[in-house]
Amino acid sequence: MNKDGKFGPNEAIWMTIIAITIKASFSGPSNLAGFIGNTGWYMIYISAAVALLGFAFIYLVLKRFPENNISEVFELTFGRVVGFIFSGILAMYLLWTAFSGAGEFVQIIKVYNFPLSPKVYITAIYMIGVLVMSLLGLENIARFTKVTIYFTMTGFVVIYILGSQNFNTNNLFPILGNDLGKTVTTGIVRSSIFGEVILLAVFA
Amino acid sequence: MIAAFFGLFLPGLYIALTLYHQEMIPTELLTSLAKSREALPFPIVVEMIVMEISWELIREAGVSVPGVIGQTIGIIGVVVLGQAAVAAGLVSPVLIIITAITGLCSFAIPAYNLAFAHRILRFAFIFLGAIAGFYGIAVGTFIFGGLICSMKSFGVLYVSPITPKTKPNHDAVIRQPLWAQKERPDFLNTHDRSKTGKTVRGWKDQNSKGNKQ
Repeated sequence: MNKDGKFGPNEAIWMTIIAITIKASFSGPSNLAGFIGNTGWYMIYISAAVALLGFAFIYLVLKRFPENNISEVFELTFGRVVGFIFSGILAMYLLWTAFSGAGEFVQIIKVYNFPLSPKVYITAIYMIGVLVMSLLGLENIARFTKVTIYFTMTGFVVIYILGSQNFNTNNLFPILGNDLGKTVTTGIVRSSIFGEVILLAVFA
Repeated sequence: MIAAFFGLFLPGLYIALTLYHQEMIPTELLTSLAKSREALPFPIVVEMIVMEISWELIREAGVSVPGVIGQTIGIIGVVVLGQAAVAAGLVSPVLIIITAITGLCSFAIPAYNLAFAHRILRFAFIFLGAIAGFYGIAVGTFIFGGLICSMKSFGVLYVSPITPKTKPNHDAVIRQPLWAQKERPDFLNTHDRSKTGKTVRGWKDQNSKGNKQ
């Protein structure tokens, strides 16, 4: 049945997966290798576990208030003033994530594709795309994700297959790396790369 | 699908490759491309737009003239014009090949209306490829993809049944035989979902009953 004006869990899950995969793929490996050595491969699981705990908490809250979104839950539980403050903090967090994400994206494009172009030029083109999609709304972004997911995922898999010639299982050992404590701490700190899960919570 | 992809993106990708991402072209090919463009007076974008407009004019002329003459005009026009343009040193031979492949791909799209849309969007992607290479084409794809996803006709989304996901009707990507499609498409929200009765290929049931007896 075609339900007008809503996107389903299928689209939402793919959208979140795309957001997380892109962030984890582009921002991670080389930085991590310099930071915590060879334990980066399971540090990502620590990050995912921490993010999952956070999301489980949000899920429980939303289950308790099935008809409300998260900012309405803040208002219902903390009252108007404190709820407004918490909603404001959440809005600022989302804004900061958007800005930092945009900045990171522009940096990557500048390094890989356009080393001679000014940043403002790259950012302007990026902002045009973002502006149009924002006007169209989250529903259409989710739908577009679902349409393109087959090609995007094929692309990701092809990239990993092509890179497989550089895989070396010896790099997984020693299993505890240089410092287990540092691996765990970094895993917890870097759990924010799974922060896009909040998309589901805010718009659920 | 391959024809639709090349019909839409090939000129834009060629421009993006030659203007911004030369490192992706193998060295021998890059050398031959550079040699073929040595003596040409116009930038590659101007060449491409001139060739695309010429192609559209020839196609339009072929459509307007009735009967066999129309097709002849098209073929003669393309051969003579392309040969003359290369001989006069106005466009490079590679560009002729790109334009020809693009044109053939656009003819290979079975839906004529969709082919029209592709022709118009092709110019947009040439422009985007010229101003920002692959990045521009990616942003353009993102924008046009979003617009396509927001399009509706009588409340039915243009990208149905890929999204929103509805009950499978076995005619989206791989089409099953007509007798296996017993229901109407779910995304159309029809009052009666069944398309056929239960007696489709009734002779088969009769035969099997007969064999049992």
